Amino acid sequence: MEELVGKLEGILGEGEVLTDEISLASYSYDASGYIYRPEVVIRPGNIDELTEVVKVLMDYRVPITPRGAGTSLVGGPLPVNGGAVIDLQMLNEVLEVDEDQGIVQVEAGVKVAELNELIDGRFMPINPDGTGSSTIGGLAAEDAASPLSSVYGTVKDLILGMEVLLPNGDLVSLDGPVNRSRRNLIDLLIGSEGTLGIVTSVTLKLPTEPEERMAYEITFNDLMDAMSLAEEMEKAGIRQAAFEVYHNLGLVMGSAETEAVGYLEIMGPPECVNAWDSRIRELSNRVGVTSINPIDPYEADTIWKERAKIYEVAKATKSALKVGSFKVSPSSTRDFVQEVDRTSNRMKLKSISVINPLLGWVIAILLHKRSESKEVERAEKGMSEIVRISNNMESSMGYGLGVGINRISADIDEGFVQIYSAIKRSFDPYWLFNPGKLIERD
Amino acid sequence: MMLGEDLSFEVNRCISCGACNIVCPLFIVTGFQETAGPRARLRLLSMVNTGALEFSVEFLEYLYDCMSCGKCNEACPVELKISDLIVKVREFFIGQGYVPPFNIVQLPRKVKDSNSFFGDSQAKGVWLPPDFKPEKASILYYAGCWAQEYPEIPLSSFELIKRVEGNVTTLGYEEPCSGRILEMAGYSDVVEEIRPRLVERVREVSPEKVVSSCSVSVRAFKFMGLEATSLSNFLLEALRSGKIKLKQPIRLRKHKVSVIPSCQSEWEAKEIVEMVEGENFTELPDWACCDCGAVLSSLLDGSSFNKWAERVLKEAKERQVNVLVVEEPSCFGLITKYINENKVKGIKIIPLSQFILNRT
Repeated sequence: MEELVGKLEGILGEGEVLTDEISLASYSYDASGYIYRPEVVIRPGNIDELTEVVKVLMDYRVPITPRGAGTSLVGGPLPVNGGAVIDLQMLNEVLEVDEDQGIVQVEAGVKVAELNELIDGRFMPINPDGTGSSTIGGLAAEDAASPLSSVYGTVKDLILGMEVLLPNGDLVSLDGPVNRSRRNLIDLLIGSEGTLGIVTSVTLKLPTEPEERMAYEITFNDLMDAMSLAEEMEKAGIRQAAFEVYHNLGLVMGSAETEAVGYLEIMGPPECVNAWDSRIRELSNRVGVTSINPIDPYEADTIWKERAKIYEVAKATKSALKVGSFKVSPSSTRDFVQEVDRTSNRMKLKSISVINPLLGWVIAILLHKRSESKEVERAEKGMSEIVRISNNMESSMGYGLGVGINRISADIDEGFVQIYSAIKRSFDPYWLFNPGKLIERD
Repeated sequence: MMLGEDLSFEVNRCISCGACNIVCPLFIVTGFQETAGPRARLRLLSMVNTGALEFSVEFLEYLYDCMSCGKCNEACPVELKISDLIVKVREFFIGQGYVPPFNIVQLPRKVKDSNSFFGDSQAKGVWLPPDFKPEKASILYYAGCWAQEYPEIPLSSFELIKRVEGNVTTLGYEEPCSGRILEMAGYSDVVEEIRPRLVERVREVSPEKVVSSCSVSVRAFKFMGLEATSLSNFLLEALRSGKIKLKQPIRLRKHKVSVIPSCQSEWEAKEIVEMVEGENFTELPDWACCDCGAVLSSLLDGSSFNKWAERVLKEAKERQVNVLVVEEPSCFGLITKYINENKVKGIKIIPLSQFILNRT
């Protein structure tokens, strides 16, 4: 270890190779609640340093866990097998900005808040934690989503090109404004959660702010009504910028009696939005919502971009959040949400499910007090149980947040594990790049 | 549970989102080192609390290695007052008998003996005539600890206040410490002990209002039920109402001015310098703010403050700034010391009061 640290210090200079207890503890957590302590933390200042550091670590067969801002909810940047954590936040150069095309090339450590400042009138719609502190490298590695993914897709849909450092030390460049091979190899690396390579820079297209928008608060007595409304709106050709239904919100906040509260935003040219407005009211009546009221689109913005509702819950209940993210077919959404309820009841915890009906995206949140170690245990146990249930229900885990330490095993998706393991072995024969994430080692 | 129930509960309310990190000056100037940010303070406290991390001398020192700027208090989405919470934790550990780092543990004695953390009881009124005695007046000017190191600050401040209000006094050689720095260090019991001295001295001059060079002290005067304001706030109002008239500025092409305001202010200093300098004014990032909390961190090995100063000066140079106005006397002192020690060239540092006086 001493010899290794000496070599690393030779590359980075003093102060950026950390082995003291306080530093190691500081890199042992993210926003997931899990704790895994690294043996060394390495903070390269540029891509050359990163490349050299990775070569040395590979020579010494040390597990390598890349880390951005540490906002993952699934333990993505935690070193479950020990070894080295590489903090990529100092790789934060903006390499290119094309204002006309809205295309930017930035290093992996650039944060969402900074992306929002790059071009007037354009923004980064994927801001999963709502604080703007996540790095683009982390978002690409996890293929992150946000409520606005209904129209903008996930990070994958914004990315035009990437540079990735592979376990063999090669820095490869994939695609860019033009994809010359017209094959989709880049999709193999987006969402690979650091298991195949370390994202060092990303080229992405930032969308423009919408011309006209309108937002609503809708209450439902039955979650299925929300599903029907989303379906009807889609059939009617209404462009849903975001639609999120908060199941149990009233219950947890001690207010409304309704089963669920939904927030909907539509966007487009003014003439469309106005026409859709009356259509939405008509459809709402037809599916039988309890109430529908317009809200200020800027208020809605805080829900999508700052995750205001979720933080309000944490603030009001003074709770920590154990979060799981799942994609469920529309027909089984209600069953799945009921299973979340059942599990949280069994664990004696309150829960909230945030459902995006259009995407079939369910975020299950178990509220717990972190000062009570038994509650923390029950929250972790409850989330594992929900993951197990989701596996039995033909749903997929990790949409928009990544899979992280939950891992996909062969009984969940045999074909995927078989092919991915083969790719993994050819990329990373010693299984050193972010081990313990995404898939079970075969 | 080492911290006791209430503190444990608050510390564990952190949801680890990291919103506090991206506004933290130390997190930014260390190249986003997690350890330097507020999130790590809370998460590590929670580990110490359960025994997952050893409570050590280094950890106690780490709890003081923060600029106490309070930026994190505003950033937290679940409204944890992180900076205030860290002060409560320091207080808790002192209450439990743990000993803070060497220079911090000296503070109570120095303040008690000399009214100033510099520990020199006769120096506080060095900017005043030797026979100065406080008199009754409508405005009380509170100079603060740094007056003795940089007499030009109280001299220019006093002069400006006199021009605006006429009837002004100050507490002079025996000006007591406001106690804010002790409060931030976790010595609230000592503050209770020494505050009567301040109350008594202030009562003797029975002012209508206190104007303080040291902006974190304003809170102490408000706590005593007095109308109190920072010097920058006072000057801004005087400039707005025309009570201070400025000379026509000389517009030099290569002249660029910026300012380091107090973190706990309403950014009055920024407004003032912009008002005075017009298009020669240029802004620094939000985290380039500083007040008395920086003194605490500089009392450790000084490396955090030095990193901050180095980065601020780099940002200023990138913007071609050659005059840097500093609101807080303590920060003026610390930055001046940094510049002298590191032989930084090409930038002039000037206290806010001196800057305004030069333009009148």
